[in-house]
Amino acid sequence: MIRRLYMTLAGAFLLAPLIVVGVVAFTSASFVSFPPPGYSLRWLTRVLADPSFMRPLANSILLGLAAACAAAILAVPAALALARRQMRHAAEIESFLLSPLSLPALILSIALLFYLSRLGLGSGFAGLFVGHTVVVLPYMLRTVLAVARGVDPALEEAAHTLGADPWRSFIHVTLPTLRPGIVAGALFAFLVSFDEVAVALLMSSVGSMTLPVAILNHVAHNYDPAIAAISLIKIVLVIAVLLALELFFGLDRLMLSRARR
Amino acid sequence: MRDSIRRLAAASVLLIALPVAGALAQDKIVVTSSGGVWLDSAKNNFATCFKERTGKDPEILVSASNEIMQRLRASPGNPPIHVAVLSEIDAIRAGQEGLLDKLTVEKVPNLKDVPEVFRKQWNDFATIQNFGAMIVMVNGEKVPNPPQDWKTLIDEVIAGKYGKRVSFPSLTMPWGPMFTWFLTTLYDGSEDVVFQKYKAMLPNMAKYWVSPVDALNMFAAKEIDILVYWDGRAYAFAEENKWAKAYIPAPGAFQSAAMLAKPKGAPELAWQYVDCVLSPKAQLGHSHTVKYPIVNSKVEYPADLKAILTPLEKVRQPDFARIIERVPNWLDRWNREIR
Amino acid sequence: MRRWTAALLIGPAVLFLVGGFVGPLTLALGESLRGGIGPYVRIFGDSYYLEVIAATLALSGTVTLAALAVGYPYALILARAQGWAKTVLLFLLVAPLLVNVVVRSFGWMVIFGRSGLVNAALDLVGLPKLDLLNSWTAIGIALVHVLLPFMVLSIAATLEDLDPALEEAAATLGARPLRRFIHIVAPLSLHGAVTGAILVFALCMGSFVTVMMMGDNRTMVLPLLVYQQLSVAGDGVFAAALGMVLLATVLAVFWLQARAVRTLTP
Repeated sequence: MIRRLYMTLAGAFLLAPLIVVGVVAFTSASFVSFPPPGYSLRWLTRVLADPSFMRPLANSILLGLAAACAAAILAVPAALALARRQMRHAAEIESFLLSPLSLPALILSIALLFYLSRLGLGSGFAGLFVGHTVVVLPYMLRTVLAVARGVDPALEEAAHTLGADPWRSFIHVTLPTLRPGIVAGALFAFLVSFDEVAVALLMSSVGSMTLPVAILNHVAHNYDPAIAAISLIKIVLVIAVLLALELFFGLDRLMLSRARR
Repeated sequence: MRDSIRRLAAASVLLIALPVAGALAQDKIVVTSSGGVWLDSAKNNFATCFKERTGKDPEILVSASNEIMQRLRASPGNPPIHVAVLSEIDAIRAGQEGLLDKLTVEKVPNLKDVPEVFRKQWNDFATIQNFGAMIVMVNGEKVPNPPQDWKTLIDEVIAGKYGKRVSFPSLTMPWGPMFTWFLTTLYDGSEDVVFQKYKAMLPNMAKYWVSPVDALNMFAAKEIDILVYWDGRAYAFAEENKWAKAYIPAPGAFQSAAMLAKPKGAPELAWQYVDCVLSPKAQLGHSHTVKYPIVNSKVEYPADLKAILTPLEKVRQPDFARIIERVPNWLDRWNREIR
Repeated sequence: MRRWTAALLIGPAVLFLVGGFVGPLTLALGESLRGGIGPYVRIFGDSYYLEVIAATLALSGTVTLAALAVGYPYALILARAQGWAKTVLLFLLVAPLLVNVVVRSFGWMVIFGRSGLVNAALDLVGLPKLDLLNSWTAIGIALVHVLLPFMVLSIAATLEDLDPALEEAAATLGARPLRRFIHIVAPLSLHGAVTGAILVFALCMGSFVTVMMMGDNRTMVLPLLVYQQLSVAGDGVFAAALGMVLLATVLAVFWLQARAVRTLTP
């Protein structure tokens, strides 16, 4: 009973402003208003046919995946080491690895632009990739660390005693127990990169422009319902991905560690 | 498991390598534009002209003045952008910092038809390509007879005649300092009076708007009845929503403009694009698309366009040198006093 | 674990951040000190800036606690859900992040505006209208809304391992729900809650677009000052100094949290 009430309220809270956006996406007017004076598909079809939105959308998906992969490769081992109690200066190292979270994105992006320009990586995908990996690394580190701290070190030791080499025990024992943290971290990393605008504003070139930059630049001088439409398209895209994951893998299996399967 | 990791690694290398290779392949003129209709105009008017003359397509980067400035500063002499559209203040700063080439009639023949007033304050390091003005939008149903001059409007807002349903631009939005300068011209140049008025209006201000979208949001959602906003968009909004009206209060409005400039170190070919932007045909096409007045004196506007464009006589060009000097102080006063 | 193994595991991440973060950070620090320590004296010698720092901390702290209170039950339900229920819960959670901040703010305006849905409902039942928009409350609600996934998923990730058999066993042995929660669920999710709190807090400390859209002249936060200095005043030096102060503040909170967690957990 309490649970149902809570879920109703939480669901309403999460969805309420989005329903407004969903409705606005179908407006027939050329300005945002609610309720819309009439309904049409003009903004959705316009956005879907517009390469200045669709190409950035593809870029953003690629960039988000690349940054999430890179963050996982770097952060998972680091989180494992930090989770061990004997680690010296663990608090300091953890704070250091989390520090990109605390520098305002506006300052980080400008500093990164000047820094990378000196290295000849000024604008284009390489700069975006480095910048976004810096930005999303802490998310992956922190979620994996949280799970790793709850994992029983005895498990890995047992594998070790049974003669498994460290690499095998990592792949077959450690990694599966960390899965919920990695999945959550990867989701954060992707979503943060997918929505990141400050670094992308200064790094993207014509070919590598990301979706949030395209949206921001559009909004700066045109206020039409195209942004509502593109938001709706993003939502539909994510629903499709979640459905595909659920159908092919099962979301709960993906998010669970091996311990419970 | 190991196989799948290897496949994942290979895939990520590909993911990264492909766009990098794409980025290296470009060897083009990069020009900037704002998004939406501005981008449409840059494609249809400016890029078309450039293609006719040179046989090449420019790359159009949609970017805002602030970001363009940072990019020019990060790579002086080797700019990633070859023709830039900047804000007035950024264009002055860029000129002073030595980031721009001077425009001359030899390099840009169409410049001869651009009156000097459109480039004097920029020392020929940039020229206005189009301009607009900040005017007043009202909800005609709630405010059928809005005051016809700025000072009366301000005093009536202070008196609470319109309740808390008014929104003026904040000093902290990019054109806020220019609006503040404009207000000082109404009150004999006195900053103190303007800040007193700002403070006195605060209780009846739904909000001093910072984001243009947010401002139009409030107006569209009928949270406010009076909004100080840009002319082009105000007229476009009023055209579609019959309850909305837009007008220029006496004695006019301040000019807000998009500046065209060629960064130092950009290839010579970039001058062709600059000249295209200023050519009569492209200028008229641009004005048609974005609904703002342009600067080439050879252009004759058709009647329908003339009706909605703010005429040059009604706009005052801000004194940018003074604004740049005063902004830090104004910003500080604004943050401390107007709250 | 031997020391060199630890170094090997942490090394790549540390090296990457030294190259990709410390480098630019040093540039920004250098920029802020270009004209001496003047900007820092200006910040710490002026009660206005100190007030803004305090307000930023207060907003972030409140939003973090609110997100924890709202998000914890959600995480419990999400971790235990299976199949389609899990898909739906996950979608609800991440959907706010997919909607552009500008249109999301418009959505809130339609709901909380004076002629909005909430006030229409209040009016219908004869209650006085509320002025919810453009206030700290509006900013807080909007931030909790969009930052909730960071709290919930962090907690849920640590609860995924919660063995239902363990709870059942405790129940069979007669442990009441509250006791079961305190002794089994809460300790397991501690690290998740800390993670969620860190992420939400840090994201809050850096957010200014939402503050700009949902607030007014009284709602000033540190990152918004940075934005003003960059976009209006064109003072990169002072902006960098403000950014460094923000960085130092958040880092101090991180370090305190890391110390506290190590002391609290046996």
